[in-house]
This record gives sequence, structure tokens and C-alpha cells, in this order.
Amino acid sequence: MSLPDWDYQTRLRLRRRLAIDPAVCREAVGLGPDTALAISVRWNAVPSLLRGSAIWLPLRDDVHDYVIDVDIAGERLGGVVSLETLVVLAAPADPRPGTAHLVGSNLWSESTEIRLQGDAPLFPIALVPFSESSLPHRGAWFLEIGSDLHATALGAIQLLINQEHPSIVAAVGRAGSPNDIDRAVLSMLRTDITRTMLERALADEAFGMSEDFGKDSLGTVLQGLMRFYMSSHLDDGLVELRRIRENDLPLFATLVQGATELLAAEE
Amino acid sequence: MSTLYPRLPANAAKERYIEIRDKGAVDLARLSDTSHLGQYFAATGGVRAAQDRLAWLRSQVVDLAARHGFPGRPLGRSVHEFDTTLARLLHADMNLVPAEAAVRPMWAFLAAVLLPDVTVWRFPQPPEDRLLATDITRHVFGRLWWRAELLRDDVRIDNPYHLLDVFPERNFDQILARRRSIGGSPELIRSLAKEWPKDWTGTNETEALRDVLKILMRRGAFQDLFGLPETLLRPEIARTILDVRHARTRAHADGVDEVSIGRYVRR
Repeated sequence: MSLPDWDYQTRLRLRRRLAIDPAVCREAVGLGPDTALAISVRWNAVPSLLRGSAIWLPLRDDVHDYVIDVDIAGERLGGVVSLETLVVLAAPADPRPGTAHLVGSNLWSESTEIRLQGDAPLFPIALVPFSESSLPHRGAWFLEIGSDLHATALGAIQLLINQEHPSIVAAVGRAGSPNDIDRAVLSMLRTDITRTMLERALADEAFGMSEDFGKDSLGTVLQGLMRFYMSSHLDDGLVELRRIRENDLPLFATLVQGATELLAAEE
Repeated sequence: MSTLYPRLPANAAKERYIEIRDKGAVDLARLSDTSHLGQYFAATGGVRAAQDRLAWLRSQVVDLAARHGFPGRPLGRSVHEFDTTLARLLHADMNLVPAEAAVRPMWAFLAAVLLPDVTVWRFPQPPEDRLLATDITRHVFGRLWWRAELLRDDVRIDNPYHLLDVFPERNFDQILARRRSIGGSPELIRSLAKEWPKDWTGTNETEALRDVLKILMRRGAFQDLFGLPETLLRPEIARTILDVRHARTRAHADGVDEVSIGRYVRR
């Protein structure tokens, strides 16, 4: 299983069903009829190397079917998470040769792995309350772009979403399965980000399509964006685009709307 | 929401290491910075640490170091006090989540860019891992944050870091060295710290801890120590410590180096 969009703020909520007859289980492993058993679900994560208990559930003889819900804070996870379900001794038992007696002795187990943070490239984004920043309080989003084209793109770009703006927060939160309103909001967001980044590039005299800004740099990302959205306007380098942006800003905005298919109907 | 710290790419960190490894703390104050051209952040999952926050963190650490002789006087006998106070400071003030604290380039930024002077003052002519966090359990700051993370006791609201003083550094290193197994379980480490006797007169405490960890690791193969609730786990650990202590006392009386340890082993 893989959750490519996971981040530290994402809680892991999982459910599994387990059918067990405690009496048969005890008999199978040679334990006395009064021995207390429990279901234990534990997890461990790489690379944090942390491990812990997700649930400890004492078994009852009159219940054979269990629905086990676990909820683990994302901030402790990351990478690959292993989840183990065990049936264990819930209390020490009388020691007898060949039988388990220590509390927590593992009688049965099954494990599964979940890969968090897959290979999906994520746009740097953070939810912040604009009222606690110097940004206009009623703004919906703000794109931070660094001034150095050679700086690493992941350090130079960040989209700030106003936590106090319900429509944009809802749309971003439901980006995986948006409704019609969310889709329109996200389309506007995409167009505005693209326009802001392209303008940032065109306004900078140091930016050129043949410059080498280095791998993963802001300059290289902007070059890629320019090629992707403005390829039909690059015959003379950036001369035409710079002219449009300087002399006819409304036309430039509409060019970007077309290139990013603003509010286009889904096929 | 948690704080995301700048990450320093491996090649930049290596260059920085070569630049600072042989310099003194006084010279390195000038090299300290709150940003680096190559830095980048996790794409999502928190709010980026702004430069003023980084400057504030630096001032906190520098003030603490100054109270212990920084930059002119070596640490000497107050190493333990400095380390435990710094562990508390980093863990309480950085607003860092474990998943982010497992990221090596983040610690490399802290040691090589933000606090190079304090780094070489704490570890003069440091080996690579103290700066680059090739092994976080050896990193000048990372190891302390993890020590606080593993020992933080939220039950004690008045002093959640009271367990930091239980193990001297060389002993806690034994626990950190086993992070892939029992050393990755905060619940187990906290229980061990709570049950660890203060007085080890007549017994080598470091060797006793090594034996206890060895037994617990062995038990982990068939006993669910990571899933046990604290009320069941602590008596198990207390008994293990007692077994080791008795075995060591017996071995000492018998004049042998090897000890036989186990609740049901009789010599």
C-alpha cells in the first residue's frame, strides 16, 4: 500500500477485522483456560526508526469478531511504516515447559507495510493565518519566490494558503476529490501561480532560456515552466514575451489563462 | 503546525565541513548564517522557519553556551549539564516533529550554517558525523533532540524532561545505538529510565545497562515489549534490571567475568 500525498500533518487511520476464538487459540498453544489474551497492534517507521503501540485490546471469550481501529499521528511516521497485529498473553501465566508464560508473549502475528511519501512531486505549500502575518488579511494565497535564480527551487518557492479563508482551505483540502466549486478555485489558483512565476522570470534580466542555473534550481524550474506553457512564443527567445508583458499586461494574463486552461470544462 | 527547517544538500554540507573543521569558535561566529544558497525545505507538512526564528534559536543556544564558557573556555566538567540543558532547549523550542528530525540534511544546516561556532566549541576538530549527521545519534545537536524525544515524560507536566538526567551520555549512547530495535521505542526507554536505580554502588552501571539492553532485545524476538501498556511493561523491566543486578553481584562474588542472566536461570 502506498500513500504518495502523505505529509507530517496527515494522520494514519486504519481499520482491520480480526476473527478469533480465544478458547481454541489457548488450546492450540497449550495454555490454561483462564489465561488472559489481548490483541496488540504496533507500528515502526523508517527513517524515524520510532516504534510504538497503536492499540492494546483485551480479548473476551464471548466475542469472536473484532473491528480494530488505529489512529497514528503522522508526525511520528514517514517513509515506510510497518504495522503488526499480534495476539499476545495479556498477563503472566504459570511457567510450564514448552508454553508461553511471559506477559506479551507473541502467539500469532501478521504484518503489513505502508509506504508514505511516494515519488509524487509535491508543490511546496503551507497553511498560515494571514492575520498573524504581514500579508493582506483577506487574501486567499500568496506565492513566495526567492530572488536568486541559482537557489534550490524547493527552498526558493512556497505557496502560502490563508488558513482563515474557508473557500481556498476547503478546495486545497479536497484537491484529491474536488467538487465543482473546488475545481474552479483550484483552476484559478493554478493559473495565478503560473502567471506569477512566469512574470517573475520575465521581469528578471538575469533570466534567460539558455542560461545554466544548475540542477533543481529556481532558474531551471522557471525555464521548464516557460517551455511547458509558452512554447509557441519562444521562437525569438524571450523577446516577444517580454514585450507583451511590458506593453500589454492584460494580454499576457489572458495568454496564461489559455495556456493553463483556466476554468476549462473537464472532459 | 510544526516547523520545517532548512535542509543543506550533502555536497554543500561537505564543502562547509571542510571550511570549518579546523577553525576555532571565535573565527566561526562570522561564518554563521540564517540561510544558505543551496538550502531547501520539505515541500509540505509545516511552516518554514523564517530567518528571524532561526536567529532567535541561534541566540538561545549561544546564550546557553556562553554560560558554560563559550567561545573562549572549553566545556570541561559541565558537559553533562550543558548537553541536558541544550537537549531540553532544542526539543522544547524547535517545534520539530520526529519525522522531520530524522532528516539528516536538516541537522547539517543547523550545525554547519546556523551554529558552526557552537559546534566546534562543543566538539573541537569534529569528525564528519558530528556535523553532517551521517549518523544522527552522533550529531552535535541531533543526538540531543532525540535523547529528549525518547525520554520526554508528558505525565509530568511540571517537568517533562526530568528523565534526561537518569543516564550519563556514554550510557545513553548504548540506547541510541540500538535505535533500530528497543532504542526506537520512547515508551520502553521511558519505562527503563523510570525503573533505573539511582545507586549502583559495587556494580558497573554501564555494563549492567548493556546486559539489560541485551536481554530486552533478545526478549523482543518473542515478547511484545513495544506494545505492552506501561502498567505491564514497567514490572517486566524492573524484574530484568533486578535479575541483571543479582547476576552481576553473584558473578562478582564468584570472581568470574561472565554472568548468567535470566529469571529462570540458576547457577
